[in-house]
Amino acid sequence: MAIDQPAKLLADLEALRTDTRNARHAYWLPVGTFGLLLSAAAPLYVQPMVVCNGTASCSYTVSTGVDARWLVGLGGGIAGAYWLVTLIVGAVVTAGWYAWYGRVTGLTTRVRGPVAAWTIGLLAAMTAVFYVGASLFFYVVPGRGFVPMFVVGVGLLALSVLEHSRLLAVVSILVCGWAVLVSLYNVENLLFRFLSAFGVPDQAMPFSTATTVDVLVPGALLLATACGAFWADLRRR
Amino acid sequence: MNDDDSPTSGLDDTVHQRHRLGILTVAAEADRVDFGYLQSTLGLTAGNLNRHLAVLEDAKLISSHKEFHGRKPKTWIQITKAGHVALADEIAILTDLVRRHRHVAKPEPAPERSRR
Repeated sequence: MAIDQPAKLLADLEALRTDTRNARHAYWLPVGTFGLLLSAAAPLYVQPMVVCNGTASCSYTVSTGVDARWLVGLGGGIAGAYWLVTLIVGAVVTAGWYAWYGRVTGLTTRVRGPVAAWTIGLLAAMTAVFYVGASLFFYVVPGRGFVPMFVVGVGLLALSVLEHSRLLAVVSILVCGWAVLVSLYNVENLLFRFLSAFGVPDQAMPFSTATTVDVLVPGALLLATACGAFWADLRRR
Repeated sequence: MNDDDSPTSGLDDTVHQRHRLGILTVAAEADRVDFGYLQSTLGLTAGNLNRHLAVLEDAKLISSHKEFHGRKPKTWIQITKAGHVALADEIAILTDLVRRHRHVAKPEPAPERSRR
């Protein structure tokens, strides 16, 4: 055997592996779907404002009429129902998309991992409240309703492993980290400080809409990732 | 040199064939791979590809099954655990061969001149 043959063979196999991996990449659609769904959740996080004592603004909570206890772990009310739909739609779109894409390209990807992560995460968030009690649940998991966002990130992390995508892994970890951050801290305070540093007076602060950054930041990140992945796929073809 | 000591002695004749290695490499990257994809990617005729697939299937390195999408039949190929192991072993041996060759081919460093 000529000694340059193994080196050439290894290089050819590596090229074949890279081409196959690239042909199999299809995560832009699930990531884009979650990006859209997270961004579309923004209106649910707008705080209705009332004028208190005629001088200062303050927020109050409006009863949504959706008070199912099993939605508490998902944030409760309409937001909880929305997260429930988001996770179901995301899982169904992912499973359906990869099944179709596999038939078209001739390379299938088994997405049981991410779908299982979303399903188990969803069921755990919905049922934990019954097992540990609402007060303990909210003590352990701060009750700002971003557990489902964390579950979305975990599912996308599982997808990144299947896709061998470092970019998607980093983005998924960022989404998980953001979900933890907004669960523990009011990140809108950073926005207020930023605006204040630029001389925006208190009366002009976007108190009612600032809380939408909780979902708009990860939503925009996922949409940007999906657009980048789609563009990269188009360039490769 | 004894045959067992040879760096190429670990090569598996079933796997160590360019197209069969290609089939295993592609199959290892996906859950299942379509016959048509393999044919176009590896640039083989249907008969030639079928022969290689039969060899790999006999060695239990891949499994295959047919499905119908509408009226169109599709043959899906899936790599087995033994196939993954055989591919990994083959790549390791080839990599070792290349490493040994580079080590041998590397010229001896020139002796350093003493500074005055």
